[in-house]
Amino acid sequence: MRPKDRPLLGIEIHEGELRLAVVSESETSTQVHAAGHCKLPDGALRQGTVVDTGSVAVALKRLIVTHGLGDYKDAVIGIPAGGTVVRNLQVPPAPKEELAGIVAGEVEHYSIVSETGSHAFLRVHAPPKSNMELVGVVVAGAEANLIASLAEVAAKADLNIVAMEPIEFALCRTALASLGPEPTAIVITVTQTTTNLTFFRRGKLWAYRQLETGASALALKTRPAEPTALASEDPPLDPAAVLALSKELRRTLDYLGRNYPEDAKDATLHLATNEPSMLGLANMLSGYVERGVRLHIPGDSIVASPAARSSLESSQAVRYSAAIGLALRSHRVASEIAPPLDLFAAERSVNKAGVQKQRTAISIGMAVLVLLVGAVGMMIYERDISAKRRIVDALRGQIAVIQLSTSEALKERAGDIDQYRLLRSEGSPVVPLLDYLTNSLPPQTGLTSLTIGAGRLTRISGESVTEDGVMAVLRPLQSVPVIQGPRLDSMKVDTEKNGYTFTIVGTLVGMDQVRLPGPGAPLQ
Amino acid sequence: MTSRNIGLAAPVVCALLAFAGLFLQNRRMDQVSAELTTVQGEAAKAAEKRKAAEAAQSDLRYAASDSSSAEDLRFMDNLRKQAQARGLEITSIGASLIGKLERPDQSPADMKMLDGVQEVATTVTLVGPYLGLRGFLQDVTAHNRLCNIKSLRWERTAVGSEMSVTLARYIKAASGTPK
Repeated sequence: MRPKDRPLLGIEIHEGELRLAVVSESETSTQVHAAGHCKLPDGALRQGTVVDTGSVAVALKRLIVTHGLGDYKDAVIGIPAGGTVVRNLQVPPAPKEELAGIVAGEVEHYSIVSETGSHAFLRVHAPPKSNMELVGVVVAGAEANLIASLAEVAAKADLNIVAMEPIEFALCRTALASLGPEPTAIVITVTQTTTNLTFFRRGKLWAYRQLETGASALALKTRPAEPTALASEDPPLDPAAVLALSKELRRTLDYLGRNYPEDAKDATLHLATNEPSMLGLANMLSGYVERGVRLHIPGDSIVASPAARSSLESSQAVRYSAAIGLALRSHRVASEIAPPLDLFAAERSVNKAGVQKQRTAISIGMAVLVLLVGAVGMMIYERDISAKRRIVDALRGQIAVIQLSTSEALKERAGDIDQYRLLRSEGSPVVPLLDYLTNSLPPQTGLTSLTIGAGRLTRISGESVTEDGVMAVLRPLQSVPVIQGPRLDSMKVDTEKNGYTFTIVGTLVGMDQVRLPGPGAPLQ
Repeated sequence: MTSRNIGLAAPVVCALLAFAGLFLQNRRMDQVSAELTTVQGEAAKAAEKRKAAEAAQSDLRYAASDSSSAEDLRFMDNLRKQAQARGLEITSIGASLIGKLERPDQSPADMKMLDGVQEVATTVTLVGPYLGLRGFLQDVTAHNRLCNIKSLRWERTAVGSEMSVTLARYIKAASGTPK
């Protein structure tokens, strides 16, 4: 939403000119920052509708840049007088929130604008004339093509449309801005094609009337051959047309005097126009209606910045009245008396809805796209994870098989070792015994036989020349670990051999008592 | 502004969701990859262990051999070759199957260990020098396959020595064979 104190651009597309004004408003002051105009390209505006939006936008942008107003983007566009339809309607009384719907129905019923057109309304506060309890509204409408053409101009000029308002009402606001609060006044606004009479009673809209007599009808068609001194300052007006207008004005005053005698008598008359050719109209009307008519020139009643002062000091400043009135949209007094209208509201809401729909669609599309990308990524991850997990499971299976077979092999090996140890214990350590015997034999001593029988009972027989030789065989055997309990079983004198024969008996230990020889013997 | 923010929120929330999903999947992927690396290491270690076990098995001393006719012939042939290598003469040889090993003094665990093992006794008589006989006995008992000397009779003769030795070897009973 636009901050209230940000300056607004008021733009009026006049038949011959493009006019703009920048106005800032605060709680305490209103100031015109800039006002300017330029010639409108020929044929750009036809019967109130912009037909060449491109050239108008270019001219508008140039005008904005020329006045150094490029930073101002918020604009109120004026709907040209010829493009607006204004009607008084009587509608059943209804709460404020329901009134819009009722008015819309009446607009459609009376075909004030086509179905696609836009309208806005102001509540008339005067009591109804009859007892039918109807209330009055002033409806302003414009066709869709006109609204669209103005929107196109704004879009091409890179402006943000705050509102679109008929210039009749903008002119009225210019006059109201210089009146105090709760004025009782008749504001006469003269546009190119219409004159509008608006009666405000104590700050409320009381009556409205539109006359089809505008500046183009009131201005003199041909200039006098020798202008008078007065005429040299004020453009000439058609006395007959002014007289006709004054008659209509008097008729309105009479009507108001009849219906609201006290208020109509006190009401002041104010003239606001955007046509420099109408400068003399106030004086002429004063003479005809015998009441003072005050012409409102923006520079007289609204503070102008130094930059805008030169534009607003001359009498030609009335050309900016409509543009300034458009930019005075938030004026604290005027907007209370005559609430600002916006004929772009419906179009804006449609545009907003369209943009919102588009954004929603893009948002949903992006969200779906992101989710899809995420889902695809997650699926790819899931696939790879599953593949790796399958490999892990297969490897675990292989490891289990390997470990089982290894365990069985080791178990079998352990069994073989135990079996080997057990069975080896049944063997006899013959070779160690032989080695002990042969290594311990003394001289002149020999073995004749060796017998190992059941239970490893061992008999060692031999012969020796001396008894000591026999003992020399027996004694070491008693400390030999492979034989247990060796003893001399017999010793006899052998006369033939001139010596002794002997027999030693003992029991051999099992092979388990003997170390396994050599490398590669895992059982040691 | 608020609706624009809400409009942006949907894709942003979806993007966050997608990112969170991908982040979690990435973490799962890292975990599985780490698991795979660990398991591959474990598999390699297990394979090495099995290889080592197999290598050790091939060099192992053993008590019982599988029963077959070829085993008997091979054993006899080895005896003959060993005797020949030691310069001995085999004068007689004979084998007898003793059968199931039954030791009343052995524990049930030992008996279970010997379950299915049969003893085959072979008595061989050799003639030759003492050192040859001693070497023959050394060769027979030092072999990887267990061969026990059950009984022995050695006598010195006029020309050398004569030795009759009973050697016991063990075989695993073939399946179906009464133990």
